[in-house]
Amino acid sequence: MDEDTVKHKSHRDRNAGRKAEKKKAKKQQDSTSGKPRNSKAFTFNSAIKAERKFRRKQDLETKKQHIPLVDRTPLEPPPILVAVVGPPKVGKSLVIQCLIKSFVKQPLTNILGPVTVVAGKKRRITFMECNNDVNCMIDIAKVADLVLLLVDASFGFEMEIFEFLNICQVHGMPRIMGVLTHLDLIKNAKQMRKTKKTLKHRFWTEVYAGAKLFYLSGLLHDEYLRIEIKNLARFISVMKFRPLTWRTTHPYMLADRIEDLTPPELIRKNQKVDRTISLYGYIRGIPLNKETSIHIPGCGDMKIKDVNFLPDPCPLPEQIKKRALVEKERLIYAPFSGVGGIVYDKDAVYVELGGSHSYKEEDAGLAGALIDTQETLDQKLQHSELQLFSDAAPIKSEDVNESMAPYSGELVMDNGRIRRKEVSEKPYGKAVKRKSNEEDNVREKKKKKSTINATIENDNLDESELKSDKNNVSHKNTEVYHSLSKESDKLIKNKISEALNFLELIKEDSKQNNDDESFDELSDEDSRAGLEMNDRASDFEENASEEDDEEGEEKDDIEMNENKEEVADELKWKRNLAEKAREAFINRQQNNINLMKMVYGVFDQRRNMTEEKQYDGREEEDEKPDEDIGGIFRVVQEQQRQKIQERELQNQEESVFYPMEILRDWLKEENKALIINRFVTGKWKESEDAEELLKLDDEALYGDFEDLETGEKHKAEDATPKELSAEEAEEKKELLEKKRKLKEQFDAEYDNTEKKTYYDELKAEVEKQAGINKSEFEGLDDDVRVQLEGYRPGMYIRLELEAVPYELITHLDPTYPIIVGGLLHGEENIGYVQARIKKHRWYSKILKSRDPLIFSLGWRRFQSLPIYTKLEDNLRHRMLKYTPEHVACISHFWGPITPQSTGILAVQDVATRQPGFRIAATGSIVELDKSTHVVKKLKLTGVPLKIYRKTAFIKDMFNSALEVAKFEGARIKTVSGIRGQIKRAVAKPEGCFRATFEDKIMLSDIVFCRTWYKVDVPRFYNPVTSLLLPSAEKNQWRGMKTTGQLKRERNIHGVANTDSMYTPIERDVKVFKPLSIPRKLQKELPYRDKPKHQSVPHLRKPKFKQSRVAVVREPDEENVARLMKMIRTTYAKKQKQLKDTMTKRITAYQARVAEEEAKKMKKQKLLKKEIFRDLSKLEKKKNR
Amino acid sequence: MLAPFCKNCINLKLRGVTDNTIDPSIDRIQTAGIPILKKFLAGDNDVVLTICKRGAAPLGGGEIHFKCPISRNLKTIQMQDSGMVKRIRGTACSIRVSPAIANRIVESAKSVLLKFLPDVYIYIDHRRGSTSGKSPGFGVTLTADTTREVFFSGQAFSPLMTTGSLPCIPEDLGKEAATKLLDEIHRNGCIDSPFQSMTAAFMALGKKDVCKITMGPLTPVTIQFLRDLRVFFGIVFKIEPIKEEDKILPQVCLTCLGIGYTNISKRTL
Repeated sequence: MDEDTVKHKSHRDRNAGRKAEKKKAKKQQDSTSGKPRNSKAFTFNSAIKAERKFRRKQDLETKKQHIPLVDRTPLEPPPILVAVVGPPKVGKSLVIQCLIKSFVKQPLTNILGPVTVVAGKKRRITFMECNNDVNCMIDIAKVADLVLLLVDASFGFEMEIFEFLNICQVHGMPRIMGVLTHLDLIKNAKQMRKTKKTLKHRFWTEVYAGAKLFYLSGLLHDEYLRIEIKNLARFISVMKFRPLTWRTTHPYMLADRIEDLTPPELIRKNQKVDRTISLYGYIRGIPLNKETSIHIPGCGDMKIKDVNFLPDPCPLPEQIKKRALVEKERLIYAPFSGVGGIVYDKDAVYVELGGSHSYKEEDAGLAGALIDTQETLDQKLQHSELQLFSDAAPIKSEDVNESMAPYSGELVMDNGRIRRKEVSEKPYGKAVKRKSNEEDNVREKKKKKSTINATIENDNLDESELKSDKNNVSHKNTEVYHSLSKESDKLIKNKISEALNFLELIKEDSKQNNDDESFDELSDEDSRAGLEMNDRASDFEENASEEDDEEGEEKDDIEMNENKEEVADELKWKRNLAEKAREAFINRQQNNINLMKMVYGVFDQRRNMTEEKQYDGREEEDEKPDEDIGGIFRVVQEQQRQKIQERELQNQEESVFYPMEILRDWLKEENKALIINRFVTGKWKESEDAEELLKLDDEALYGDFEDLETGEKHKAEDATPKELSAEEAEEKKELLEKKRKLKEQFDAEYDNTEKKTYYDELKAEVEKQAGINKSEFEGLDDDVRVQLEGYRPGMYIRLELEAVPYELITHLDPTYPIIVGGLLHGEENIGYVQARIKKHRWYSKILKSRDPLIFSLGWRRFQSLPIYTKLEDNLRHRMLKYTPEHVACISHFWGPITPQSTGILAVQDVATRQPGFRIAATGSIVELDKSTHVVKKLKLTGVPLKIYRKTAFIKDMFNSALEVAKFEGARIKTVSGIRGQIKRAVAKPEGCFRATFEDKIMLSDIVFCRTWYKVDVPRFYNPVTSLLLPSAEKNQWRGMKTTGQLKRERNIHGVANTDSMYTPIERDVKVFKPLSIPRKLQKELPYRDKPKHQSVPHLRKPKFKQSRVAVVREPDEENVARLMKMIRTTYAKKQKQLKDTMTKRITAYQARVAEEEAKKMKKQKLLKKEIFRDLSKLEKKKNR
Repeated sequence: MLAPFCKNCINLKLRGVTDNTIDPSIDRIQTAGIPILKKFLAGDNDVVLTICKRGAAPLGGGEIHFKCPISRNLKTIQMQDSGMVKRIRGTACSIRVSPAIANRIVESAKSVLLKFLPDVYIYIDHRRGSTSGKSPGFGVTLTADTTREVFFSGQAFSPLMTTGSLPCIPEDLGKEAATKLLDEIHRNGCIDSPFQSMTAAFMALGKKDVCKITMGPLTPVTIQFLRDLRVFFGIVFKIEPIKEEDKILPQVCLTCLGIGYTNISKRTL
């Protein structure tokens, strides 16, 4: 066809002309400018659409945000806790073994309890296997940082997995990684792929989309493939964690070692005696305070007896220059499994070599340290410095020997004003006397000293006490010793015994004591203590001869001087009390070097005696001047202390303000100068001063420039003196630097204004706080830090506990985690707890009020009897018998006080392993209280006694007039819905009252009054003590049983209420009398209403015939019908005949029978007649 | 001090002595104490303290309304810099005495303070009739406000008049209050001295974070209070003097890690 093949002329672009030019221009523009071609296309077409777009963007953005939490992990964090969880026989232990092997390069076959390894330069990991007990799962979920969920791929997910995930959700979601094992059991590749996919998606819906799922494809030489394990290990060691609320507010510890410290003798006497134990582990969460009480899940609440930190048994490598860890640094610590180098105890060190070279280095380190200290002890002591005051020059032990006299001067100087004055007034005579006295005793003292050395060595108690003690010894006055206050006596005894124990570890001790010294240094009071230390040091020197003696004397001398000083002090003290106080205050104001010391005394609870107290004490002593002066330093006696406290209280009340000093005259010039800069009108700080800043700007602006017009070169004035000194140049550079920084800051702030949202600000604030938390106590010594912030996370500590049930030790099973959870203030109490709870969707039953339920809340697991309520709109708690199906309800129970919005979890039973889902309910704490207000509905019913129009007298509702009085004005209602009110009690039938209604009520009405009845929450709290059970029954903890359980066990059936049973309803049919209208009335009635006797034709009932239809039959039908009729007729006839014959026959027969009967009777009669006649004859004969 | 930790919001009507010579006056609590409390409370809090009636020392009869919201936990705050004093406000009250007395107090107080700062304004609160309590008295409370929202306060009140005692001159009171205020400013710190112990309590009850506040030299009460805090909560403050180029200033820096107290009686809906 021609038309198809026709060719049109193709279009040719114009090469010249207007159009071509236009096009060219347009093209050029497009290529040069980056602007979109059609600018209209990118503007707002619709404001609504734009708004929606913006809103969506914001929504997405906000969705990503989390509430910023303050990160409280310290610089050196505790090992992360990796829990391996899964149903039995999925290969949990093997995974741990393989991971440990990959981290430490050495196999660990028998794993019991937690295993800590060094995984990297900055990371340590503790592995813990979780067995298949609900208790264990709950405990582990509370402490684990990362959970490896092991799933048997050949089987699929098991209930344990879901249960564990749920537990995690409630108690704070740790990081979760899934691990699929037993993949080699699936032979078919396609099947495998399918399984992997389904499992992955199921896992994602449960955790979060994109959660990591690992596949361990199979076993090789009874181990998982090395590459896969390595991958897993790598993931574990780079995992990051989000702080969880519960764990950032509570300290906790997973014990990795436990020791029984009970004396064996006690145990021998009584096997079941309460034990004293020590637990070891890394502190996690937040710093642990010594005063906090703790809870061990599965055991109970306890008080800490003692805490101390130990050197880390599994430390991170010191220098982190290298890329990877050296073999030596790959440490492993698992005391329960029998690995872990050194085991420390308070009074012993066990070194377990274990035949591996990996921890050789460490134990050598400690032993080496010990040896080291032993060797250099003398020298060390010689070199040891003692800083009495933070700003004073450190004193060396040689200094003490040599420069004793100048030292006293120094002391005086440093002590501030008070002392200085006293030195000038010091009555020296007494001291001299005393000195001579002392000199006599020097020799004896020396002897004694050697014996009492140990005591002095470990003196952690009042130095003053010891001093007196020492003095007493020198006087050979043992009775004085007894005269010391009871408390101190005991203390000293303890200390001595302890000291003896410690003698073996003198080296370490000396180290500690050095630390103690550092505390003591803070105090001027303890300068003496310090001296004593030096004294001891000199004792250690074997060349203690004459010189030493002299030194001792000198020291005594100094002490005495001080004593005198203070005596003088006291004497004076009385005189100018106010002045003194003022002076002290000024002194404090000016010289608060030893502030900590001033406030807290020495860092020891027992030495809490403060300066002021001592002051008072001395005064008190002073009142009995002839007493032993050495006693000045004795602890103030009990009563005295009380007195002092009272006085102090008074003081406190009086001195909310500063003690009144003479007010400075601020109008004087020199005083004015002191504070003039504190006002905005004064001089500002350099960085803030506007003028200064302006100047800086000026400099920048008007630096060097060239005037182009005149060609003149201007230089800044600063530059004119060309010979700028180096200093000035430096200064200028600094200024420039400063300015640059300021500008940067300004720029940053100014430019990012629109980006700074509330969220950003919050985040920045939190980050700042975290920074401060990390850095604040950075440089301090560990001992001081422990005082200030407690035992911070990451520290390896030893926790001593008293009165622990013996079962914890005897039934110890390391595979069950021993967790020590710290409790905050108030959390050790028990009270009424309200929790919003929802029955778990997967739990098959609903929960009944007052049925025992095992809760897991905070650290604890306990059984309690909850009552479920519904919080109504008027905030009334209405009791529910059962939990609603799919709605949250409030549950009230008697349990531990735990902060609000803590997660709570409930299980019905921990012992049995039911096939279904075991977690019964989840929720969170709402309120804690001392009482509860749970009510249930109560309907009081009554019946009317008498009814007047709208008033009725009601009886049977109350029993007495008093009860009625209580309910006056209450609303009542009848069954038919007529509302009313209780008015007043009526005298005669007791409990009867008058009520009014909105309408007249019937006598048959039942009146009821709706009231609320208070329901008590049962005070039942039973901690689950699963750890105390024998190993075989550890998962068999049984608490209170539910009523249902008990009934089932004992086969008890409840008796049904007969009233509640359903019986068939029998109703008589009511027969009404026919309506009869009297004649008279009938007449008067209109025709319409008159009864009609004759039926009206159209209303007439149709007759039977009328409804009939004529049937015309077919001929054969006719025949059949006729035949049938005939047959029927003959049959009927026949039947009739038969019946007739039968009746005839029967009558005949009956007649015959009757005849025969009559005959028989006749015969019998005759017979009887004869017999009776004979009998009577015989009778007559007999009678005769 | 306990108000934020109650179960319900506190709404108190307190009756008694509002001003005397030995305790911080109600004005001082209002102007210097309440801001501190506000700093520790999170969110928009309405801590309200209104003085309905004033009552001087012996018989009292004053009435104040105090309203304080409750909070789950306290904020952790850091206050290092007290800033510069930018204005001075004050209240001179005369209760059941001649209104001229208040004017005289203001006059004398201003005469001192104006030498340091031009922005001084002292309100005159003359009370009589039902709002004036039961006994006469007069006094002044001055508050210095700094650029960093720190408040210093100085106060003076007429002592109890007993037979034979010297009459109290309003001018002297004004001067005394001004001098005390200047003293307080000189002592520096971020907390007015009578409220040091309150601040310490709030610091201790805070979250488990580091709280750091610079204070003037510690009052004896505070020192005792810190000891009590240690006994009660086992909390130890790090107390260190402020150093500035090898010079030790009288101010101290209190640092502590809160005990992580939460208001467990509050209901979460």
